[in-house]
Amino acid sequence: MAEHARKDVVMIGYGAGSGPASVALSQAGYSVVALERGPHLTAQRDFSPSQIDTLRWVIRDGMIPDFDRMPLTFREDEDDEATPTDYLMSTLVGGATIHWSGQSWRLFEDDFRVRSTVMELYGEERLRYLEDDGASIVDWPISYDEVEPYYERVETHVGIGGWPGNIQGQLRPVKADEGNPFEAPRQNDYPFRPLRDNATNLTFRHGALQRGLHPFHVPTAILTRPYLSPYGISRPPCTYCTFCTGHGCWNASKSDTRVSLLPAAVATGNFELRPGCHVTRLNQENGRVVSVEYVDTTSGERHTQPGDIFLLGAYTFQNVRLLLHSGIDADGKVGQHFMTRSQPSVHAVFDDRFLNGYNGPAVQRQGLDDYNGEVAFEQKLELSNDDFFIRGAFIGSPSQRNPLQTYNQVPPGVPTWGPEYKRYLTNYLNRYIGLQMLTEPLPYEHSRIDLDPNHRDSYGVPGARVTRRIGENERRMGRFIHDRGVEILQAAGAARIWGSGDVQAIPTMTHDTGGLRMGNDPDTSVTNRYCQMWDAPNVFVGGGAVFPTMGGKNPTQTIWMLSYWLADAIIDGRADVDDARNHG
Amino acid sequence: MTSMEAAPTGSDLDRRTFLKRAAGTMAVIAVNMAFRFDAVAQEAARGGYQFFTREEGELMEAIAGRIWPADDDGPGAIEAGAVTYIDRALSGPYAAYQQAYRVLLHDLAGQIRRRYGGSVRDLDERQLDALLGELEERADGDDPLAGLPGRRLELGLGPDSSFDMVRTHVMEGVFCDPIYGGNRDFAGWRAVNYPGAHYVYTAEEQQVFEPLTKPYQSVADL
Ligand SMILES: Cc1cc2nc3c(=O)[nH]c(=O)nc-3n(C[C@H](O)[C@H](O)[C@H](O)COP(=O)(O)OP(=O)(O)OC[C@H]3O[C@@H](n4cnc5c(N)ncnc54)[C@H](O)[C@@H]3O)c2cc1C
Ligand code: SF4
Repeated sequence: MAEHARKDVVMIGYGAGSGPASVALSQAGYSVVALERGPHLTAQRDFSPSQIDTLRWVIRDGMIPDFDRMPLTFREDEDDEATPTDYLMSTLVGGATIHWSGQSWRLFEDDFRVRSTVMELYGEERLRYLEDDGASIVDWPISYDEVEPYYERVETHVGIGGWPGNIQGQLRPVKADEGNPFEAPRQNDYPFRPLRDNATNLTFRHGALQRGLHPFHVPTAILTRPYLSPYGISRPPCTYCTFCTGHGCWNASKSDTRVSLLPAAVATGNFELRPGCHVTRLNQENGRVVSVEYVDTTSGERHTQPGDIFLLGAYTFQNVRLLLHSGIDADGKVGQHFMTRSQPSVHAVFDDRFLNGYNGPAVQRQGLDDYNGEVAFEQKLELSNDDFFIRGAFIGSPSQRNPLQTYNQVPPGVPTWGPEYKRYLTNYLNRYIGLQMLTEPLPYEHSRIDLDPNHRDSYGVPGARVTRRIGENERRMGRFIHDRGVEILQAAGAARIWGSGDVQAIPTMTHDTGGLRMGNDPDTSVTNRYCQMWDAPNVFVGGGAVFPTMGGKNPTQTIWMLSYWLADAIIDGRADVDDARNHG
Repeated sequence: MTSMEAAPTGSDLDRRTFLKRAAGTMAVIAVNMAFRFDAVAQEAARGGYQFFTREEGELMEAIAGRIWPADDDGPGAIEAGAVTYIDRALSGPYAAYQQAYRVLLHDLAGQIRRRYGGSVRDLDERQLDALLGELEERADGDDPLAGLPGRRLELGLGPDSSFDMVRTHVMEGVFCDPIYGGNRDFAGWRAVNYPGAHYVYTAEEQQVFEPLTKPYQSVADL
């Protein structure tokens, strides 16, 4: 077994959770190594022009691992045997931010205090059903105001553009009909604007305005002008090639961990990237993690990497199973309160127009937050007890509807093969809209990740097993949000609308969060407010596993934000790496 | 991407699975080599396919032609080369489904013989549609895919049914980039007016509510 020289910081996985911290820590003089199981693919060498191919990257899933490399299983009930499910995140340098969409935002202020907010708005009596169902909603140990500057740092340094909806309390200060008026107040504007609108966006927007709602173009981690980041990294704007979600960007216009952050870490001379290293265990001595073991995926050789501080950045499932496999379980709390996105569906086609939905990256998208968080609380107060729910969803209109990704979207009653099917697709494929509805799932006592006794990965580490079922709140929210989506598309003039308010319990593999909940109390949380493990103070968690609740929004900007946040706490000593209880 | 990784070593268990898998891979390679050796001699006899026999190829074409038929609007899956696409995929990345196709096509050919007393060539569209409809409706246990070897099938991660497998692969063959052997002369993309591989869309192109005219292009043209 090869043993390497000690490093100040050892990162396990190099995705969103590791990227910002890798820059901040190496700039502050720490020696940092990132052990990443996947290869290092680059825009010029690996994505151009091969990226312009839906079959290769999306259908044949060009970047995702086999089940036997990253086993993941799922069951709804404790008594069931869990069955295998696909792990759909790309594993390579940059993590899943390489093939992500780039819809990027801050959480609401009240996302950081969900429990207090709903108690104030609705009272204990109205929320009884949540308790009966085992919902474990809490407040975060940090507030929006504390992390606002870190959110801004992500926007400027990683490269995220948008229309501001609220600068220091001023609503829609730059453009009167653009920006999200319900967003948390920002101190400063975005560094650039988001993508332009296409026919799909304009159609959705029209419907939303007809309904008296507040549509806006979503903020995008995609450049719309040549951009020089504060790190001195310059990248060109997006050409709207549309081979975007599921693909690595050939043009380096899509902001991700690799193009926006890695070069800044490398430039310090203190950072070493080691691709092709699959970490299998954290080794402890006297109650302290001292090294990790990994397998070189090319040679199969086993290595040991000692270090002083460890950052778990291998995505929620891997972070949890590595800890459990290494015997670090925080008295059974590791893996609890797991959350994953479950969406209802609304599809529509138009007779009076073509949308050519294939053109445009997926995140070229209008959307709205009128039903997200507690924005619609007055409307919800009017709901009957059987329909009432807390929190809500973002609703938006994605693009990138090319034939290979859309040929299965046919309304009930239309056959899925044969002459009628062909006639239908020929007429309607380019007249199709399908909504995204980011319903917020709640955390539950009974929703968790543990080790699967029946499946191990190729290196002998047990796979992750998810146990989760849909709660009453998810069911009610699914129905409500589905109906709002239908109203918007009706108002937009859709000829035919179909879909379902049902939501699924199975992990959707994009927004898998919780499991290593952060909190102020070591008895009820796994990490403290700096994502530092109470029971293993030199181990920090980078990634959504620390989220106490999830928000009706995509998680990655918050993951990047927390990575800067925890790194600063290490650097300025607010996080004491000898004692997680002693923090500023 | 996993092909970039060496086979895992480690515990005995790993080594055993690795050896088993390596043996499987070797067999596939050997079979493919054999195909390649007599490819030239047998090309005519086989109808130009690498994996499918002539009879299998005919049956596959008949099926593909019913899933995405030629009509007044234009060519269907046969003309688009969807079966060539599947044939190539089965000789490469979809090798794990070779046996599933063998078993399925054997099963269908047998049914045709028993019920109609001939080969697929003797069936009309209605009979073919009935056959496919029944395949689509088959209960799990009766599906030819049930119990076949193959890691993804074992794990329950493969296609839901053999009909699902064939339909998915035919549609991939219709809508894939032509470099994969399907979507010949952009027949699939023309049917739905999808211009294919382009680096750039302009604001003018994106903001029309009419069909867009842009040249059909393959990734090979970039
Ligand atoms: C198709 C798709 C679209 C998405 N779109 C959006 C979006 O629009 N907006 C948004 O906010 N989010 C989006 N996401 C989610 C986003 O990708 C994740 O939130 C984010 O990548 C999670 O960051 P992470 O660091 O926790 O994990 P990752 O980014 O997945 O990084 C983890 C890294 O660890 C490596 N690793 C795993 N195990 C090991 C091991 N044992 N040893 C060494 N390395 C290991 C992996 O290879 C990987 O590179 C999308 C995801 C997908 C799949
Ligand atoms: S659409 Fe833009 S950001 Fe997305 S891959 Fe193409 S060029 Fe890159």
